[in-house]
Amino acid sequence: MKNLLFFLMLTLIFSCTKFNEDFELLDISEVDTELPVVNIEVDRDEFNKMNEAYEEEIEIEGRFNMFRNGVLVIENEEVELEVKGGFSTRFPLKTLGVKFEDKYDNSDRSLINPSKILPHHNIDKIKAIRLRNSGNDFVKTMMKDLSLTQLAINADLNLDLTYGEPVLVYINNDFHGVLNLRTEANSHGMAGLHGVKKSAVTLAKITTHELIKKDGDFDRIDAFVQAIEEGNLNYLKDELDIENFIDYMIYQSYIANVDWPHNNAQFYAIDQGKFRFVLFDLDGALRLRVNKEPLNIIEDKRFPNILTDLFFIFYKEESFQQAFWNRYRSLLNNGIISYDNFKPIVDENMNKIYSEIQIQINKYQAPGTMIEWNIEIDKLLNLFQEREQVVSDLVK
Amino acid sequence: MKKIYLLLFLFFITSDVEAQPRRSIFLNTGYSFNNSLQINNGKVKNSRGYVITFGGALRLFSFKKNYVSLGIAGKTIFSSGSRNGEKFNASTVRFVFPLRITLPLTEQWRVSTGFNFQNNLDFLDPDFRLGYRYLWRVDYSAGMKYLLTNQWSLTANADFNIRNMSDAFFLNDPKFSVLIGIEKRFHKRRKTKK
Repeated sequence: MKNLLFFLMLTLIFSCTKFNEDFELLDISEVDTELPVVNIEVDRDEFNKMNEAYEEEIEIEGRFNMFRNGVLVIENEEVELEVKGGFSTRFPLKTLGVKFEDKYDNSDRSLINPSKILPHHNIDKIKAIRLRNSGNDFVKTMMKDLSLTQLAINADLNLDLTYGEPVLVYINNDFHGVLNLRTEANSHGMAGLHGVKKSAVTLAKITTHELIKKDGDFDRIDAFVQAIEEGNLNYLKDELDIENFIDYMIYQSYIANVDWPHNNAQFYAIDQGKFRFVLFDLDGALRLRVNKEPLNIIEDKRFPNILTDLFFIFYKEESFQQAFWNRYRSLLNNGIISYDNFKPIVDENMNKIYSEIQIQINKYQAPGTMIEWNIEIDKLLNLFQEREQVVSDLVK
Repeated sequence: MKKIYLLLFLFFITSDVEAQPRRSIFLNTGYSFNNSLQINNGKVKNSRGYVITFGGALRLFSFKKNYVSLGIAGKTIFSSGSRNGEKFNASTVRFVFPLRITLPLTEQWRVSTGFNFQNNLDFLDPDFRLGYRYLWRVDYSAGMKYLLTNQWSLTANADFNIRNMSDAFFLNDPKFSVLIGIEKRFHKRRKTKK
């Protein structure tokens, strides 16, 4: 029996696949990119140290330049850089947080130019952005988070989220990688979306291990958390934006995000306004639990968390249940959240980076080969289709 | 379907009480292929592979002359194909639990049928913690066995995947396979009375 167990462990450890292909990958010099190009000038030694010692949260200074269609649209903006992210910081191409010295005036859409902005959002002033490696999707499609967020934007959901697009990033004129430039989901990001100062924002983040009070009125956050622990529904009704909460829970449970709700969740309020939840980092979606029903995704028995608790406090009320399922049905029945609306977004993002992903593969072997990139996109689309079927059947 | 597999698995495991332990090791090799695949709107041609499987099996229990066995094996697949004219190949290692019922036809011939439960998780994937829904693949397997001696036999098997998964999961490990191999059985030594 011991031998069998040993053999099992051995085979498990070596359970792997390695692809090779004849595909002739493009080199950086061969790509005539249509993507925006970012060039950040930094002290190279400082930059390398920041990348290597990413756990030390080192901030360095730099100068930010950006080209659109070959035209310099942002020149020498002073910025602070920092490596951001959780597990994905272990990848060779890391996510960079970029904070402008002053709020950047994006009214001409030179920094971020999304195809659509939700009516309650404003991206004219931007304090900070993120050059994201697509999180855990870095070795896979490089577009899952962007595509799923775009679907939520196109659906006009009552959500607060990030706006982004893929860009080519250079460091001191040397090619660094393909990253997704997006607005922040933190207090800077929420202040920007609502056109207020960061000091007006109260924000807390739910992570796997703890609730982190980030900014603002910590007593209010404590009171909100205490009300969840005590199941104080009346207090929570006064403090929570229910319509936003319903849309947020519907969307996350629809896309079956496995890195949620115990993680990648945050709520915020502007001044004394109600708490709203922010949709961000969707790279854990459409993976392991696409066959689970929405309530099962929300329940998340693996990691007890206050978001699950909050939902089920409300869910005890019949009026909330009705509102939740009616909204779910209306979004699905009208085809607002659907494969037919998702596939064009993925196709567009795929075409945008088709040449550039080859440079990424050349430099980082992430994903390993073009065939693996295609496999991962295929899985993303197929799992969405499967999810659509599962949820539609359940919701009906 | 998942529940049926689980029940079958538990049934055979719990039946161990009645078992007459007899072990075997086996080595199989053969050809695997896909009929038609489409990956991200691109047609995949000549998707095929060569398979080598090495492992051991334990007889769980027997009834009359039939017996049920559960094994564990390492499976290596060298696959290849082309998508939109671009050729690719892949090397894959997986572990397999073959669950079989073997029935005698004659003194020397046996037929077997059962399922191969195989992991689909890739440990080279830095993000393997999140996995995909299809962590397991299940193949139906049918085969013949010719007993050369009391200990050695030749085997032939045909396997095919029965889980409904997207084509993307079969590029490195095709749906159908035909294998031949050799098996060595270890009989339990019986103590003779003096």
